[in-house]
Amino acid sequence: MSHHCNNLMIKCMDFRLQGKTLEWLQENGYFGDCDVISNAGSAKVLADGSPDAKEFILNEIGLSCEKHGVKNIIIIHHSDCGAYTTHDLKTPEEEKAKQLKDMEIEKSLIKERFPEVTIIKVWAQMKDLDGKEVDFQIVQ
Amino acid sequence: MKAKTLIFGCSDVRLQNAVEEMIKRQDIKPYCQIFIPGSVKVLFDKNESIKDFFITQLVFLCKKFSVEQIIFIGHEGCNAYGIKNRAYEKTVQIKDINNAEQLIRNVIPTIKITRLWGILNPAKNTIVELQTI
Repeated sequence: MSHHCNNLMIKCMDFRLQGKTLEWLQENGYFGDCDVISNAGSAKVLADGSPDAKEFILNEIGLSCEKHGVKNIIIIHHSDCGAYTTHDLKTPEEEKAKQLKDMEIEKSLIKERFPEVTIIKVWAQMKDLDGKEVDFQIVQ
Repeated sequence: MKAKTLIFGCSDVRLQNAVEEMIKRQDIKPYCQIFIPGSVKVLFDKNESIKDFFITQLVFLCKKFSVEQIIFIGHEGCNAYGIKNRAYEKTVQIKDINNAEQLIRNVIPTIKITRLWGILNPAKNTIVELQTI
């Protein structure tokens, strides 16, 4: 193992969330102890991607687990996500419900492949569309 | 909505301090991040569908958010490349970064591209410097 870190965060690449996500990482003691996969829609591809894409992301997660000894995986999804605009979701509530459902699918797939890791699901609710204020909530 | 910069780098924890410092120092906000193990390696994946997925995503983001600059970052000791010889590792990664630059320029010729190489300090086990390639 070339180095060790305890956590892996999978998050969306959306520019509106970058600053607040970094602050959240630092406030919760993850910064400096966390690999970061940043991608459109976070881990969404695990919920609705092609079999190849799902396998690719699971292999990427495997790199962190096997090479870096990651024990916790933090999946962050956020409101008003551009990756969900193609889903014909009519209200913010519908969008959130869809994303929470996807997060559960993502969790199940990751746990199936890496049963020893703990999954922490986080919902980032933007209070304004610029992401100046974001409320991060751990989802059970 | 507009993002000034897209940072395309590796998911490796050891890169984070250097990237954060760069963000503080340079005028690159607002910025999107694509962080994937091995950074641009994914744009040349042997699996065509994976390669296409990430190239499409990269181009889409640049166009959708009118990105002015892409910063491609490679680094020493990258587990996704898994090359032990440091000189050879650098050669291979820089070749991929150059190819990534060409790939994006073919689609968006006017975009500014910055190529950075992360130097690993083995004693601190962290990337201590991002050098312009």
